[in-house]
Amino acid sequence: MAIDKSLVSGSMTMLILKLLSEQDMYGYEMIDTLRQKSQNVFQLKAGTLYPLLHGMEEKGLVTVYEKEYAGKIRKYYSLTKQGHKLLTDKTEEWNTYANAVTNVLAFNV
Amino acid sequence: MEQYLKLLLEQIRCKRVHPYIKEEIQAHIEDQIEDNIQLGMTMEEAEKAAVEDMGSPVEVGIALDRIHRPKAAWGLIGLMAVISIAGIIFHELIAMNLQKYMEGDLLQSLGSIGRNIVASRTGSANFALYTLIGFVCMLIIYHIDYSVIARFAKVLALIMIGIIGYGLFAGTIIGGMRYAVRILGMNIHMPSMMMLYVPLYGAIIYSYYGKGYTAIVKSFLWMLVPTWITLRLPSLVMAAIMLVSMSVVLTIAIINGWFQVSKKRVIGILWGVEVVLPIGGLTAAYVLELLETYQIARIRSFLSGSGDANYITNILRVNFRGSSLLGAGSQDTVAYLPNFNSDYIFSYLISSYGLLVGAIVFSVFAVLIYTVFSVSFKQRNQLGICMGCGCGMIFLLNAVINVAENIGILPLSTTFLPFLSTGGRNLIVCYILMGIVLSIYRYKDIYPREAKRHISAVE
Repeated sequence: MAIDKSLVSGSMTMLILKLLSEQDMYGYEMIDTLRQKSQNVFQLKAGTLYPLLHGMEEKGLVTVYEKEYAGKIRKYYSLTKQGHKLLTDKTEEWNTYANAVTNVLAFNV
Repeated sequence: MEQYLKLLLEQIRCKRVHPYIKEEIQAHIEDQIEDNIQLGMTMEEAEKAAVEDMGSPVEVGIALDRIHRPKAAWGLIGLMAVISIAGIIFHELIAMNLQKYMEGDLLQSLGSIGRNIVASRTGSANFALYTLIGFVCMLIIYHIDYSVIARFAKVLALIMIGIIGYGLFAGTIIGGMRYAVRILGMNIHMPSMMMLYVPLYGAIIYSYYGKGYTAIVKSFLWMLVPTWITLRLPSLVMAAIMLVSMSVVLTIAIINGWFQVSKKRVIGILWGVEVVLPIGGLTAAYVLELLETYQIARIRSFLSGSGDANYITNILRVNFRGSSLLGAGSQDTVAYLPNFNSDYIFSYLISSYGLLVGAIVFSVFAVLIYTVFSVSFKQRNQLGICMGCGCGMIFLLNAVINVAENIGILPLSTTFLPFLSTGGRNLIVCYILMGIVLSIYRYKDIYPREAKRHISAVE
């Protein structure tokens, strides 16, 4: 099912934070993991991902380090304390919002 | 793929960031191509699909350009402008105040005090000019990328060591000290120049990133050799400031894992040497009579609380005690405190304007120095952290030692309050150091954490 774009982009920061809270990843790995975990609902374009990641780095939510993997030097992103905190806040916000939407949708007029 | 990357990078105005972005995006596309081939596509199809997956290169480029561009350090420049203007007004007032001594025969009747007053007046009258030159230097350095300076760190450092090494033998002797040396028709004030060595030191040890114990030994040598020569000038205070500042820079580098060594052991040795070396060195120098006569006299008189050298410390203490909370205190500094607008400017400040004004000036310095360290630590690039901290340590130590001396806690030595004491060379050097800090701020979103492979010092 195709999902409206605006619904996806708003929550993308949260999803990236969540991915990184589990382990450090490089860009391609994030897209790949997201694709698998969301059963192809999130076809995140790389072009969206990198500006987002670099912006998060600027804000101090993630840090970057280089590591060789499979013969290539890759840039691994790792969540900072500030990033962990934002994830907690965003998750809470999302749950409240999702609950409210679900409740309204379930309400039979 | 090449075309995609080219189009994307064209959108990013800051050229310095291009290699990092290109590397990352290219790796991504290559990964996607490999996966596509595994899914059964031909090489050509795989590349086409991978590039399409990326999205519009122009949009991505613009989005990245918005993030990776030099940031203007308006806050810090504004603070520096306020400090500079305040300093200029302060010294203009002093010059005006001293004008009254210039008229009639008063100056002749004052004898040596008169000469001090003339010298002080010249210092204050020139303050505005040097501050302006310094400010312009600061802005120029601010626009130069600090990593460019870092690239030539070793060459610049060797030149400096060469100059002081030469100055040790050929320098002009003023009052028993070889402070200045004439090279190519220029008078170079060596202790001032050596303050610039400290941020360079940060860049030098950055060139040893990822190396082991040999690199630590080399880092020690880059620190100890110039410090030793500076000590032999003899400029005890500057040597101490250099040693402590560079040790702090080295410690930060070790903590951040620059070297493949046992962190605890090396830091332990570093600070062990730091404590033993000066105390041992000073004792040895004292016993072996390597110290200059005036140095021995100063140490003796400070310890015993008497003698010529303690004379000024006593004046400073009396000044401090006689200061009122606001407004002029009971002591008239101008007449009997030489260098009252350079070395002892803080004493003059509190005795003429009150302790409250002194506290305000002290707070402004605290804010300034805090900002320098915060700029250094908040940005990601390791080179920036160490160069910035080097500059911060210079400001911190000079300010603390000078104020401590001015209120009579520390014995006399030639010190100055950054951005406020007269003396063109120290002023300009401090502005240059601030320029480096501003440049670090400016480029904070350009260089990644470890830019080692791209910015490395010339070996």
